[in-house]
Amino acid sequence: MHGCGAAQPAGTAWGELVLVVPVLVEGLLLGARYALFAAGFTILFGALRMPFIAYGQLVLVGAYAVLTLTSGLGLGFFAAALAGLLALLPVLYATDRVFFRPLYSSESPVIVYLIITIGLTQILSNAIELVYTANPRTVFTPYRQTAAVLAGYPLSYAGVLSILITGVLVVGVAVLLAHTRFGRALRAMVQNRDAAALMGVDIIRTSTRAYLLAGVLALAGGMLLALDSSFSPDMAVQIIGIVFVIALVGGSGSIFGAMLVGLVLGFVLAAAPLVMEPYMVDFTIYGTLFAFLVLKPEGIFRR
Amino acid sequence: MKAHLAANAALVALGIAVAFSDPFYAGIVTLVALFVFLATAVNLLSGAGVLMFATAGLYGVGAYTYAHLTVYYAVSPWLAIALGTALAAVVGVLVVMASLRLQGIYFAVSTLIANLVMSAVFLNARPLTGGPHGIVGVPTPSVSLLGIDLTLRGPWHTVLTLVALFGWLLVVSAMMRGARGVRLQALRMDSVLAGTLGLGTARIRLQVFLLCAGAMGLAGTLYASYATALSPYEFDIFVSFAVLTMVNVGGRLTFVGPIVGAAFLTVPVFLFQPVYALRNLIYGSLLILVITLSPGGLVGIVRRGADRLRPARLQEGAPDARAA
Repeated sequence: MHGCGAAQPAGTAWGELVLVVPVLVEGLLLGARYALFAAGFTILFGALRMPFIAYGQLVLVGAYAVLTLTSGLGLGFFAAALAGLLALLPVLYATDRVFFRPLYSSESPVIVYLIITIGLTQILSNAIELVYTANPRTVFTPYRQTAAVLAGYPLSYAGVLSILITGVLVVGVAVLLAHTRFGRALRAMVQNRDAAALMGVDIIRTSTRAYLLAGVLALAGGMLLALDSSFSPDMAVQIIGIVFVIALVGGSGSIFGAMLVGLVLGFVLAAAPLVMEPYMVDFTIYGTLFAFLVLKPEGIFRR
Repeated sequence: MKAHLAANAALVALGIAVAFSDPFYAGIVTLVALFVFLATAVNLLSGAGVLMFATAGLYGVGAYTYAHLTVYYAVSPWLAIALGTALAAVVGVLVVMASLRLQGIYFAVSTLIANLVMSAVFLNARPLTGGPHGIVGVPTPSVSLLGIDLTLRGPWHTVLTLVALFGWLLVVSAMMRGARGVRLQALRMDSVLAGTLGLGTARIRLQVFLLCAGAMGLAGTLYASYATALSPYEFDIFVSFAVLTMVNVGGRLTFVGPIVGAAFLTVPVFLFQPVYALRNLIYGSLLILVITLSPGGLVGIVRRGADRLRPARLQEGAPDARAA
C-alpha cells in the first residue's frame, strides 16, 4: 500500500532530490487514491450513515475484474475497465435493491447496515481468495513502461495516467457535490436528514444514487490501483482501516474534508518510510486516529 | 438458574463423553467450546448495548501471552493462563477507556480498528509474538493428583476447557438474570435514561467489559495450550466477524443462542475439510439471511414456533394458565 523506493542516504543536493522526487510522486499517487477512496466511503458513511465495511473488498473487485478482463478476454486496460464497470453496475444496483433500499427510510438502520456489510465482507473476501488465491497479482499493460526518469526515479506511463485519472475523478466528485441538485440534496442529508426530507429531498432516490456513485468510485479506484500497482486480497483490510481513519479524522460528515485528509495522508504515507520502519507506519496511522477519537471525536471538519 | 445449571452440566458431560470416544472429536469439542466462550462474551456485551469487534484481538492477547511466557520464560502454564486472562482484561478495558466518549456506531468502529491494531502487533512485533512465523512448541498444563502426573493433552485438555467453560457460563447466567440482568437491559435500551435513574452506566459497562475481555483472553490461553503453535493469521478481524455471525445466527440476547450458534457454525467447518475453505462465504450468507429475515436467529425461530402452539394448549386447559 505505502510502498516507496528504498531510502538512500542524503547529503548532497542531488541526494536530497533523489529523496524528494519519489516522495512527491508517490505522495501524489497515494494521496489522489486515498482522496478517491475517502470520497466514496464518506458518501456512504456520512450521508447514508452506512458504515460500509466491505469497501476494501469492493475496491478489490474492481481490480480483479480488470485482471480477468485483460488476461482472460485479452481486452486493453481501458476497454476492460469500461466493460468491468458496465458489467458490475447492475450487480451494484441489485445489492442496493435487495439489501439497502428497504432500509433507507427506516429510523435506525446503522447497526443493520453494519451487519449486512460485514456479511458482504466475509462473502467477497472468501470468494476473491477462492478464485484468485491469496498471492499478489499484477495486470501487465504497455503503460508499465517508463515514461521519464526524474532524478533517478523511474516514472511509468501508468503512474502518470493513474494520477491524472484519479485527479479528474476526485475533482469531478467535488464538482458534482458542490454544483448539482443531487450534490446539494446529498449534502443536505449529511447536515440534517429530516429537514432535508421536509424540504423536498427524495431521501430514497438520493440514497440509491449516492450508493451507486460510491460503488462506482470504489470499483474505479480498484481499477486504477490495478493500473500501476500489484494487489492482493489482504489489501482490503488495509483499505478499510485507512478509509475509516480518514473518515473519522476528517469528520464523518464532511466529504470535502475526507478528500483533503486522504490527500494529506497519501503524502504522509509516502514520506513515512524515510523516517520509520515500514511496519511502524500502520501503528502511527492508527495511533493518530485513536488520539483523534479520544481528543476530538467530531473530527477536523465538523458537519 | 437451576435449568441453566443442569443444561450446562449435561452439555459438559456430553462433551467429555465425545472427547474420550476419539482424539479427533476431542479437538473439535475443544474448538467448539472456545467459540462458545467468545460468542457468549460478545453476546453479554451486546446485552449491555455494546457492539464489540475486538474479539479476535483479545483472544490473541490471551493466546500470545500464554505462549510467550511459557515458551520464552518457562513460566508455569497455570500462572500463564491467569496472566493471559488478566492481560486481555486490561487491554480490553484500555480499548473501552479510549473509546468511552464514543457512542453506538463510533464505538463499534473504534473496537474494529483496535482489532486491526492488535493484528498488526501480532504480525510485526517479532520479539513478542515471533512475527509472521508465530510461536511454536507451546506447552500444555499438567496436574499431579495422588502421585500421578497427568499432562492435559487430547481429551484431558478438552476436560480442562469444558470445566473452564462451565464456570464462565455460570458467570454469564448470573449476569443475565435478576437485578443485574435488568440493569444491563436498562443500559442497552436507553443508557441516558438508565444514568438519570441512578445507574452508574460507565461503571457497569466497564465491569461487563472487564469480564468479557477476560473470558476472551482465557479462551485464548486455552487455545494456545491446545494448538501448541500460534500464527498471527488466526486472530484477524474475520474471526471477530465469525463470532458475530455465531451470536446472530444462534439468537442474540438469549442465553442459549450463542451456544447453539457457535456449535452449529463450528462443527461442520472443522468436521469437513472442504467446508473450511468456504467458511467465510457461508458465515456471511447466513449473517445476511438472519439479519434480514429473522433477526432472532435460530432461537427466535424456535420460540416463534413454540408461541404458535401455546394458545391452542391454553384453550384446552385452564384459561388462567398464563396469569399463574
